Amino acid sequence: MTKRRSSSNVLPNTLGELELGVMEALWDAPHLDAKAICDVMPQFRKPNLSTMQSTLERLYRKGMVDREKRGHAYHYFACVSRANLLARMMGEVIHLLHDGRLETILSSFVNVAADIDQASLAELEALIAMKKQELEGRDD
Amino acid sequence: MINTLGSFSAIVIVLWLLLSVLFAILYPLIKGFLFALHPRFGSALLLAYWMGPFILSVLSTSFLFVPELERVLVDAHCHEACANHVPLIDSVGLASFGLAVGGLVLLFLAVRCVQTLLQSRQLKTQFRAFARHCGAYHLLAAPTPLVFTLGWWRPKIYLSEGLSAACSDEDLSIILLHEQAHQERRDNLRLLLARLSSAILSNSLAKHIMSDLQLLTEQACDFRAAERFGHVAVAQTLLKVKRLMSLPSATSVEVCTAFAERDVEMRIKALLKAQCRVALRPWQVAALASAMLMSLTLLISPLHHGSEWVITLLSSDNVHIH
Repeated sequence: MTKRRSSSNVLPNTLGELELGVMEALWDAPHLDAKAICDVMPQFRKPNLSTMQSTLERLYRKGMVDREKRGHAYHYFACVSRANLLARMMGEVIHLLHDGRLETILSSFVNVAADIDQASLAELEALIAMKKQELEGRDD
Repeated sequence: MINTLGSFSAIVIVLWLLLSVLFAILYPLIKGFLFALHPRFGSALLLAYWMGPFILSVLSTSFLFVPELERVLVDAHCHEACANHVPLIDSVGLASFGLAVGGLVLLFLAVRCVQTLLQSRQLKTQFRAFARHCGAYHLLAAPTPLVFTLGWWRPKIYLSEGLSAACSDEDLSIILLHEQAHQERRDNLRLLLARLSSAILSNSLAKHIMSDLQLLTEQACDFRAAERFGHVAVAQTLLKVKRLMSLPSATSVEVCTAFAERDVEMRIKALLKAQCRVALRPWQVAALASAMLMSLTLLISPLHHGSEWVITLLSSDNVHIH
């Protein structure tokens, strides 16, 4: 049974701080086992082995990492690139802006989701050009 | 104690609801005035107007429960004995119901606030991990043209490489000035407060005012950028960025025309007619503040009698005189 995502998870591809740290480690050096990942994690966020194993399991279930068994241990590698994950997140932000679910969290320069047809854009361009001419005429 | 808390909570909730509905109905009458003002003042006044029902209901109910104020603010009247009194529900059941409703509303607001806080923190963690700090903003290595300000108290600006590459230096400066205005004004926090203040209303009643507040907020930031670069230059940048984002490959979002909004169009038109927007003078601000204060004091007497009348109606003979 699929576990229901917490309602506080705003993006479908949300990763926690530790999960992001693990992804960073795997992007830098793929094919590591849980212990090796623990070793390369910075001191301030180094978890114990069982926390790391459950984090890797979560990432595996989310489809962020894949694994292969070597001896007794699983070796993990990222199956989503850094650029790909960021692109997904940006796409999700745009979708959420469209739904109005980020209105109190995030302000965007223009409403990326609001539609405007080409004719209206051309009309606005003409208005701007007219205003520019008017201002230049006043200066002369 | 339960009677006081129950009565207080019931009066605040009922008053908040009634005032919110009234303010939403009256909004079309003041909309023209707000949009005739410089957006800096328009957005501040609309925020104050929209938070008014909540603030007025809490303040006036608090004043209502100070018996000493009755002599000054409430018409002289007596029940069984002529003494200062506050309207209290004597029925424990009714008072408990009032308290429960108040508690539920408070809980709902707290949950909503915490949920939004968590979502904001989560987004911040995600984007911080991918962003490169470049002075006033954080650069995201993504081709999607996007720029936004994220956070409430110390908001951060995130700019994508896609947008950065497609814009000239002047466009970029205008965009960053606009976003810095959001940062300084803490617009996300303002919108959150407005959303929470109207949480008691249905979305259909609140959405027009909320979208006008968002529009005025954006206009206020456009005008801030225009102070340095001129209104026409900001309008041109807006149009350019909108064109970039309208490209199907840019956002890979299927935009439904039913949701078509004219915000960019209205922002550009507002910039081109900037000379028509007037600033509020200090005496006008003082007059508005005095009017608010006067309406608050004038509200106490009808609120006192209204509360007593409703309580009597709900539990005949249960009005307790203190």
